[in-house]
This record gives sequence, structure tokens and C-alpha cells, in this order.
Amino acid sequence: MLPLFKSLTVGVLMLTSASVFAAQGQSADEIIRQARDRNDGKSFMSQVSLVLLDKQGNSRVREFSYLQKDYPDSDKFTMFFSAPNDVRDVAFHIENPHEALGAEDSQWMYLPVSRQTRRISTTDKRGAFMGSDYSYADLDKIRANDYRQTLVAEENIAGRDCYVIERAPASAQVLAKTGYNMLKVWIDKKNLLVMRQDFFDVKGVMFKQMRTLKVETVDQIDSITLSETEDFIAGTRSQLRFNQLQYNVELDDRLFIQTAIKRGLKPGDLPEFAVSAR
Amino acid sequence: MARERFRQGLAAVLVCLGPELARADITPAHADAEVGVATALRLHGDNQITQKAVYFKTNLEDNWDSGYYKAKGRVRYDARYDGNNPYSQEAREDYRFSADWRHLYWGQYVGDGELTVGWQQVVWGRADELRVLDQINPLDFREGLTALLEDSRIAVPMVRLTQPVGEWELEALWVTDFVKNQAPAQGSEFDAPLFARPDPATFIVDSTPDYTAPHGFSYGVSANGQIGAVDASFVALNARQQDPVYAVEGVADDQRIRLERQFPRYSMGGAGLAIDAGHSIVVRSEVAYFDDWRVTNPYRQYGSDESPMIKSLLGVDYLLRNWLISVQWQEQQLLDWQVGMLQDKRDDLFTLSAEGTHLRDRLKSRLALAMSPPAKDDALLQGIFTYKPADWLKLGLEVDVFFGKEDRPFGEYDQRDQVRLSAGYLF
Repeated sequence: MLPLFKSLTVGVLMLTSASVFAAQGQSADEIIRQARDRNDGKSFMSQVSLVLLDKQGNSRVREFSYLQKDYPDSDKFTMFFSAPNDVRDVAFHIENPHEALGAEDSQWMYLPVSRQTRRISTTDKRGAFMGSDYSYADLDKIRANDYRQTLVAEENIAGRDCYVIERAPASAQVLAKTGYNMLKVWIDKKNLLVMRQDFFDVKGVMFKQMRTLKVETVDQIDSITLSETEDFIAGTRSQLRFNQLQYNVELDDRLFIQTAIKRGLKPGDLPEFAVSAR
Repeated sequence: MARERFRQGLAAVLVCLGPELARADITPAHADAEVGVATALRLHGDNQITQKAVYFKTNLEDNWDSGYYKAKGRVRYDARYDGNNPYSQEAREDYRFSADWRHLYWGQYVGDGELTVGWQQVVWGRADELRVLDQINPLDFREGLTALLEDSRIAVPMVRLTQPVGEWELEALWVTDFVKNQAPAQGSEFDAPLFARPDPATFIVDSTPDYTAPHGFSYGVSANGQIGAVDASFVALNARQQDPVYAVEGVADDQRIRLERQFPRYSMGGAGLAIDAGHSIVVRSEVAYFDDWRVTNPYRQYGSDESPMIKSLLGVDYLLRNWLISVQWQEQQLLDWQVGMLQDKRDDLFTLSAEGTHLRDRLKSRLALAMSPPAKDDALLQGIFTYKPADWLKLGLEVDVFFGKEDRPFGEYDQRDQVRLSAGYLF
């Protein structure tokens, strides 16, 4: 369900001055497709901290290893939770076919308590991701055809020039899947990262906002390393901190099959995490 | 029995891990534990408090370049079985103190695969709290029928090899000792006709082979992977039945029927699948064929009856935001059923459950209905709630409500509806 963090975390190769982001005259669809298709390496791994903040500002932190690898017909993702104890050894595997294929994602979850790997439907992504303010839909890869989008403005956020695009679900299925009646998204003109996203319910009320708080350049790719989502109704916030990001690392194919999540992550499965990106 | 296995496990792990631990830092890389209190209240009759326990659970793990170990154990002292209580001596001895390893094994990486040795739990299949392919570990029924499988599976000693092959994972296992299902002690809170032993007024059980090695082994293989968009599993197992079968041996001098308590060997082959059908629905199915299945038939002149058996399951999971709602239908059928067999020709079980997490994962809920038709004769309503107001505190509430006739599995507990409460400190 989370074929995901790519849209959230990954930037685009810093190209030469003759950038493809000429921008002028681009339609909203073109911008969204460029954001979806930007170069984000062939593989990716990170140690991620999911921070849950309550109304009083008290925090709980969940740690997981996040692995992603591109395949000819899909992107595949595997996540292994390591802390705290109540989520230790929980793992997800997601296969996200390229949008042009028109196929839905596939997702599996391993729960160590039951010692079973279960297939999870991907047609309802409204649920909270590990108790956070991110829904599974929020973490999904950008899908251009699921929405009708309109370029409504150009604004500067935190010193970055952004396109402001309104996105309305293209079908009742998309609305049912995400629960969002409308999205308003700020996309950095320079690197096509999503800098902010506002979420509206069926009454047109903005009830949630996702903000990019930190962008770093890793392996020549602009990357979001700190993202925050705030639920205005519940008064809670969640953050995703991407530590030790590495692109184009050698990741074994056996980490990207559904049986891998029951086996867990063993020493030697991953290259050494670099510390430079932190 | 449990204490003996606990001691055996402890000795075995020291022997197995001795050389490795001698080279390594003995402090586990990961350790967590829970200490707490638990109580249970029966909602009917006298002596309504049925449990006054303190418990300790721990989980230790370490790994190194070539392998790892995992140890998970629990210990419980129940003061209800000390002093004045209405339970039998057998029940007092069985329930006063209990300890077991949930698992205790050592793993060695072998290429891409791994070899694990020790007391393990292996779950085959995708059923939710039902067992079709999941036949490897016996169950501890000493807390009745309603404990979750994750709490009631008994770890068994085995050697297990797993090896990924392409997108599939192959598994072979050898269980070295036979361990049977644990029935509630006679005269305990959870004793019920379902677990009844032959009436000594009519029968005499004068032979009880215990199937120690080399007779108690079992072995199995499995393959798990995908065929197109379908998750598929294939399993095969040769093992001993985990519930006793009583074979007629003749007539004793006092005219009682002589019986031998057996745990006969059988073979099982099965398959399971799961597919995302869209519309928030995942469909699961399992089927297993049991060959050489034996059934007690007290009307025989000698031995026990044999019949092939098929168990099958159809399940549908519906994901609704933070809830996973599951409906399951399990059917068990004896293909060569004979009059007098102490097992129904056909047995259907339906379950409806909803599992959800709320309050930012602090509250986990499970609501379940299980019944064999007609529902009024045999049904269970169950609620299980776990709330963690802080990371170090876990509160539990479980409710079982039974309906039905006295001769049915849930119905026989009709006047023993229960509420269980627990509070645990996590560290």
C-alpha cells in the first residue's frame, strides 16, 4: 500500500542549467507527470524514524529500514521495523506497477505475533500508517491519471518557487480509496519535490497538511529528509525523518519478494549505511 | 510437564549455544520483558474469581555474522490454585505454576537460506485463528478453547531449513519429538466434556505408549510463493495426530473394554492461496487432505476406525480504513465415515471477526463471533482489547460469552462466560 516514499522523499538529479524544468506554459498534468517520473535512482535505502507527536507534544518514535528498487514493470518496496518492541519485526512489502500498466499495487504485511504473512487489499488506503497522521494514501507514489489537476498559482514557500496545483479525484474509486475530496499541492519548480500538500474532505474543509521541512542533496539527488503531517482535527502531528539516505545501492532481489518479510533483515543483507547524508 | 520442557530447553540452549556464546558477548543485542498481574472472573455461579496470577515474559535475541539465537519464554504463578479453591489436586498442580518457551532456537545462515535448530513454532497457511494447513505445533487447551493461537501453540523441537529459490521460499523441517495437545486438567476451570477421557466404569485404558524418539518424529516440506497475482502455498506433512485416539484392545477380566491410547501417524498434503480481488477484498482459501486419519469408535471389536479427511477453508478479508473484517468458513469432512465414530462426518465452523487499531495504535481491538450451525446451539462471542496508555504500561481486557447446548464445543462452556483483566509493566 505504500509504494510511497518515492514521491515524498526523493528528488531529482541536479541537471545542468538547461534544465528540463523550463516550466513556462506547462500544464498541471505535465508538471505532475514530471514529478512522478523524475530521476530518483535505481534503488534507495534509508533508516527512517516515524515520530508520532500528540497534542501535548509528547513523542513516540518508530524506527524502520526502508528499501526500494526499480524493476522493469514496477517499483518494489520493503520495510522492516526494528523499534520499539511492539512493532519490532513487523514488515511490509509493496509492489507498485508502473501507472501506464493500469494495475493496482500489491501489499503484504508480516506480523511476528501471528507468525503469518498476510496479503492486504490496496483499494482502501485511508487507514493510518502505523498509527501516524500519514495515511497509506499519503505515502503512495504520485499517480497522474487518478486526478484532474489544475495549475492555480505560483507561490514561494520557504524560499522556493513552487507551482500550486489543485487535484480532484478523477473517479469515485479514487475518492473512496483516499478519502480526499481535493488536494492542493505545492511542487518546487526547480527539483519537482512536493513541498506542501493540503488535504480537503467532502465538505471542502482542509483537515490535514503535509509539509516538507528539510531538503538535502544526496548523491546529487535532491531529497526530502524531514517531512511533517499535521491533522488539524485531532491536533496531532507526525514526522518522517529519512536518515542515512543512499541511492543506487546494490540491493539483492531476494529482499524484494513477499517471502522476505517473514525472514527479516539479517546482517550482510544491506551494504553499510553511509553516515554522510545525516 | 511444562516445567520439565522448560528445564530441557534451558539445558539444550546452553549446550547448543555454548561454543558460540563463549566467543561472543553473552549480553543479548535485544532484550525486552513484561511483568504483570492477571485475573479472571466467571460471570456465573460460585467462586467467580478463577485466576489471580502474576506473570513474567521475556524475549532475548542476538545475532552475529553467521547466525543468531532467539529465546522467548513466559512464567506464571496463579495464587487461585493455592489454598482454598474448588479445583482438583491435578488441576492445582498443573495450574499453580507454569512456564514454557514460546520459542528457543539457534539459527545458522546457509547461503541465502538458513538452518534453525531448537524449539520453534511454524505456522503454515493464512487462516485467521483456524487451523487447516497449520498442523505442526500442538495446542495448549489448558485455558479452554478461546485463547488466541499465538498464545496457545506449543513450541516443538525441530530442525528446519529454509531456502529462497527465485521468488519462492522452500522449507523442510524435521520435528524430533512428539508433543500432544494439552487438555485442561480434570477438575480444572476449563475441563469440559470435549476433553473427556473414557468413562472408567466402562473402559480401562491400560496401554499408553508415549512415542518417544525414534517413534515420535514428524517431517514436512512447504513451498511459498506467487503464481501470477495469486499467493500460493503447498505443504506436505507426516506426523502423529495431536489428540488421542482410543483403540479397542479387547475385554478385561472385569468385562470393561480395554483401550489403548494412541496418537496415530498420518500424512497430510495441502495448498493455500490468497488474492487481492479489488474493492478492498482479499480472498483466501486452503484445503488439506489427511490420509490414514484415525478415529475412536468404541463399538469396534478391535482397533480404531480409519478414514481419509478433508479440511477446507474459505476466507474473505475486507479492509475498511483501520479495521480488517474477516469472514471464514471452515469445513471438515470424513470421507469414509462409519457409525459409532466419535467424530462427526461433517463439521462446519464459521467465524466473523474485526480487528482494528485506534488512538494512534495505542488501542488494539479484536471482536469475534465463532459458531457451528445452528448458531443457537454452538456459538462464541469474544472481545479482546489491549490498551497502552504509555509505552511502559499494557492493559488487557478479554471477554468470552458462550451460547449453546451442552454437547457442543462452545455450548458446553455456556455457564462459564469469562472476563479477563491484566496489567503489565513493559521494560
